[in-house]
Amino acid sequence: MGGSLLVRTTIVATAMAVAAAAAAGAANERTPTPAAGAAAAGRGTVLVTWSFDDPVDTGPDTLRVFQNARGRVALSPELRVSGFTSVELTDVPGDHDFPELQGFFPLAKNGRLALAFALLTTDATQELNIALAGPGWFTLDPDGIAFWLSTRDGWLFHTSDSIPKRLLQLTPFVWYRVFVDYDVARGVYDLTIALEGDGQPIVALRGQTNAGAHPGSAVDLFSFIGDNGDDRSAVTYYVDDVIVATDRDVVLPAFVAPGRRRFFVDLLAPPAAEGRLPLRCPTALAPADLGLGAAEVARLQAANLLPRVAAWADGEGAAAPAPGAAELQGLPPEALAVAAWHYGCALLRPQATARRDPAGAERALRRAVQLAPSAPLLRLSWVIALAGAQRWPEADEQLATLRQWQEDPRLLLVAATVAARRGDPQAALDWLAAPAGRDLAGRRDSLVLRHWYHLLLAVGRHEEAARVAATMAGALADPTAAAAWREREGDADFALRRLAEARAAYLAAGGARPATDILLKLADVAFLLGDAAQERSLRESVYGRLAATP
Amino acid sequence: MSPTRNRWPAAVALGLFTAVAAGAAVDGPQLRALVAAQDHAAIKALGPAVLPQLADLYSHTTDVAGRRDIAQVLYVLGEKSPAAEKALLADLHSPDKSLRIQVQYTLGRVSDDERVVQLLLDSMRHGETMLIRDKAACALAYDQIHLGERQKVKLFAGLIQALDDDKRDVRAIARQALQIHTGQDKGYDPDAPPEQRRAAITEWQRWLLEYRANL
Repeated sequence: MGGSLLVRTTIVATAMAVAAAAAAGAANERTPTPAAGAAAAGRGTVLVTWSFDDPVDTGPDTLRVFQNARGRVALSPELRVSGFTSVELTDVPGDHDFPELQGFFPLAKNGRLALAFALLTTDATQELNIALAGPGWFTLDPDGIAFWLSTRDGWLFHTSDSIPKRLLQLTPFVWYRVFVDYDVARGVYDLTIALEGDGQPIVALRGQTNAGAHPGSAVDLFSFIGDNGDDRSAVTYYVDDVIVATDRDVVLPAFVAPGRRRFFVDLLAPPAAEGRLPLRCPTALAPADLGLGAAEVARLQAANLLPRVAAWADGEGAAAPAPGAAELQGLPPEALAVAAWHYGCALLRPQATARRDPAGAERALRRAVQLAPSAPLLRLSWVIALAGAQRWPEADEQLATLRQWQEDPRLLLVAATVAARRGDPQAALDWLAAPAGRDLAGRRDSLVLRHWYHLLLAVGRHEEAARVAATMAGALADPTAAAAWREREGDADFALRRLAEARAAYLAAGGARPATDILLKLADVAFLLGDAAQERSLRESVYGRLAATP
Repeated sequence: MSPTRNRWPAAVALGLFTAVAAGAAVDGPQLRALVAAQDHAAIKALGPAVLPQLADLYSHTTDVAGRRDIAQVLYVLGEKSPAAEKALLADLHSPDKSLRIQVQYTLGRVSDDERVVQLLLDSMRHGETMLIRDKAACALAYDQIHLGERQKVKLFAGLIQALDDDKRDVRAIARQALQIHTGQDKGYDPDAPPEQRRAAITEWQRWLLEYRANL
């Protein structure tokens, strides 16, 4: 307990020290940097500190601004707690949108995290919402919202254990300083609120369960908005001196370009481009793949089970029940095997409401193999789950039993996935060489060929990757597929720093109305070409602009 | 990084009549044509006065497809309307399954009436088919957009009661609706033995007491 108190004292002291420094004008930064306060405190890192006294380079490692419709997010000299300006957020009812200021920092999955900011509202009866959230975004699910402040009927609430709890009656045009000290692993926080210039807290809560009551709920962003979607708020409020600090020693990579520590091209690349081929069950193409011979199919038909089993075999649709569930009682083994396969495969994919569960997938797919040992696709899917669990010898052992399938591209893809996942992209390329060569020669836009391209990038064979992409882009009749390959050609050219070629490829891929990813990749190209105005324009078309009120 | 915007909880597309001045009135046939075309923008532009008109049109429409179309429009508008609530309630037990499901969905979006919550809870627990029960749970999970915190207590209380239902599917959908509202399941498993389920229900009841105490 003594240790945690010390840590708490240190990071909050750090946050407060940085706030004080900001108030004194010492932290007037265009981009967030590890603050001297953290170093002075001897441990931990200040991840971001914003005093909003200058225009900000928005981006994935700084801030994102939404001011669609009639709402506004802007720097304002009207009211501020330090320096010269704060951020003013204005929501307008009935405009179909809400203004938002989002801030990003490195993902905190453990340790303690302090969030400090100053808040002033001009009308306490109008709704506003403030959250600290994680990769699950703005939900009450795990890794969603950890800390949530909101206003209703003049009161400030925090949501703890999914319950909105009253904190205080807000007074308009008064600055409140808010400090949150969040213990990520325990999923609890301490909350302190004080009036500006008054050392005595008016709220001092300890050990509050986080918003959705999820211990270990990670965080990597904060958000300030008006109403949360009912479009009835007419709030104008101000935010100043936002600080996020952690008790961990975090090395923040340098900014490679405005607003980002990695180029958009790298950020947007799929994991396969780093050799991490996706853990996906292969598709069933025939009943026999799943161990369903003519006799089994007839038996399922007779029992009126065929539609249900066929839906599971498709790999889509409603989730199959977990192995052992009451609904499955009395079903024949062939149906149970397909249900276990469907259930296990679903656990390999991130779900809307559940986390990926590789261990649960492995158990379910092992069960499927036990129920139908001769079904090759079930065993192949189990291999994928074993790779997800990094159980390499077992994965190799099971793959070796499937020699009779060695010409099937699905086996080759699984073998390549195992090799790539264990850190050997060259071996993965070897597995895919023959089928990828055939697909390239036949100009077939296959999953094998796409993985082949990404693996070429992963091993640094960019020239070859660019040639594959250019060949496919030029050959495909389907404009969507051709554009995707043209974008891949641009990515390979960017890796080679052939910037004119990359830009031409991205422009060709984007067409008349380029998608967000293309705009951001063009921003990277513009930056490396030294065209600062174009870079800013492209980046801000996605991440917004935080500038003074016109 | 996600270049697309992620919405906050409870983000719903409401009707936004707050910003729309009363538009020009339309007669019955014109409104019927707009409904048939599902031209939500044009209907929205007519302003709040269109709500009782839609309710009246609903009551005087005899075919199921026509009623379903009007209910769909009211769903999209998402505005409170006692007249629409009254009209829709007449079809809450319609023999036509698709109309009944649409009515279940729409009721919460035109009303903040606790009676509607009770009726949907009843449909979730005692509807004749799993489909009807499931869709009532969906309505309770996603479409009770006008409820205040006090009214939500009734909703949560009903869902927690349903965790003890004899029917497995009811227990599962009640758990799911609670999870959608709160992000939590309190360790409740609809397939667990009764004594284990009971322990989780006790946790939910404690939570509800705490929720109520914070009103």
